[in-house]
Amino acid sequence: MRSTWRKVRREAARFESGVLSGLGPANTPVSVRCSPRLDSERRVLLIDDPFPVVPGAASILFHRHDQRLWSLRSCLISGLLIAKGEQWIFRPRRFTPGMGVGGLRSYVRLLVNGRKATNQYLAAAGLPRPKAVWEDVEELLRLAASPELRG
Amino acid sequence: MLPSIEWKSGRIVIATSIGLPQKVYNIRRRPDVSLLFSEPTGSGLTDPFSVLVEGSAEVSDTLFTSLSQIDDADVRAALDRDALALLRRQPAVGIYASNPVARALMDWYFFRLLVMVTPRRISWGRGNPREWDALDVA
Repeated sequence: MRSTWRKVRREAARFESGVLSGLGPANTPVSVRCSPRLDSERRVLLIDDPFPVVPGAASILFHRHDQRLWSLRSCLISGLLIAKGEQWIFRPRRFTPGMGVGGLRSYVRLLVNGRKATNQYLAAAGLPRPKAVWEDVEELLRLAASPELRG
Repeated sequence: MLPSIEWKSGRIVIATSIGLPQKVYNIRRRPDVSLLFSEPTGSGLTDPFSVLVEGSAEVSDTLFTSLSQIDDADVRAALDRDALALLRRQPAVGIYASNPVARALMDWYFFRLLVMVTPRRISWGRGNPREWDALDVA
């Protein structure tokens, strides 16, 4: 728990806002942008924004990129959302690092986890490993780089 | 994630890699989803309102590795249009295909499933989400 909170504190402090997802009054998922504040003493995040969500299991996604949609940094914090008067208290339970968290390690993580998840999916579905069609990827990249289309 | 709108049917289409499969597993377990568009960096928009789409999703069973393998011409056109728009803004993604080593390590990124989202309710606004405008579409 202490380790989870340390990671939450470090990453949440880097972002002005995140996306809170939980269940709405109709018991279906809703997502809203919020600006959580750290309460290090209680190891929770405090959320003042009014939301159409109900207390219970929830998550906060912190995510950003630059104008070129690159330089990603993201993490997902899963936990429990508790209503306290007009305020929400989010109690983190699990920290999942995304791209950019840990520097170079995040790329290795993407690569290793991506391959592992792919192999598991194919095995469970009884599918052979397909082949990427690199010629089509190259064609898309060529089209995207062409001055006529760049506008 | 790159959501594309297929205007003919009004659905939102996402091509998601099986190397990042959690959303696929979640949708197959329970099809209710929400998509929030609330961060405009890189969109060219300044101070747009946020949009929340609530709906239900289904995931294809068929894997594709090229947009040309998608039978539905409208879906294919929507994905093609937005893939090009994405690559124009983010040419760096080309490193995944730039050399034989990258290709061997990242081929899974191009093994994709189609996620089709049928909106049920669309709401939009700024500030307090309880005061946003909303439209029931299903």
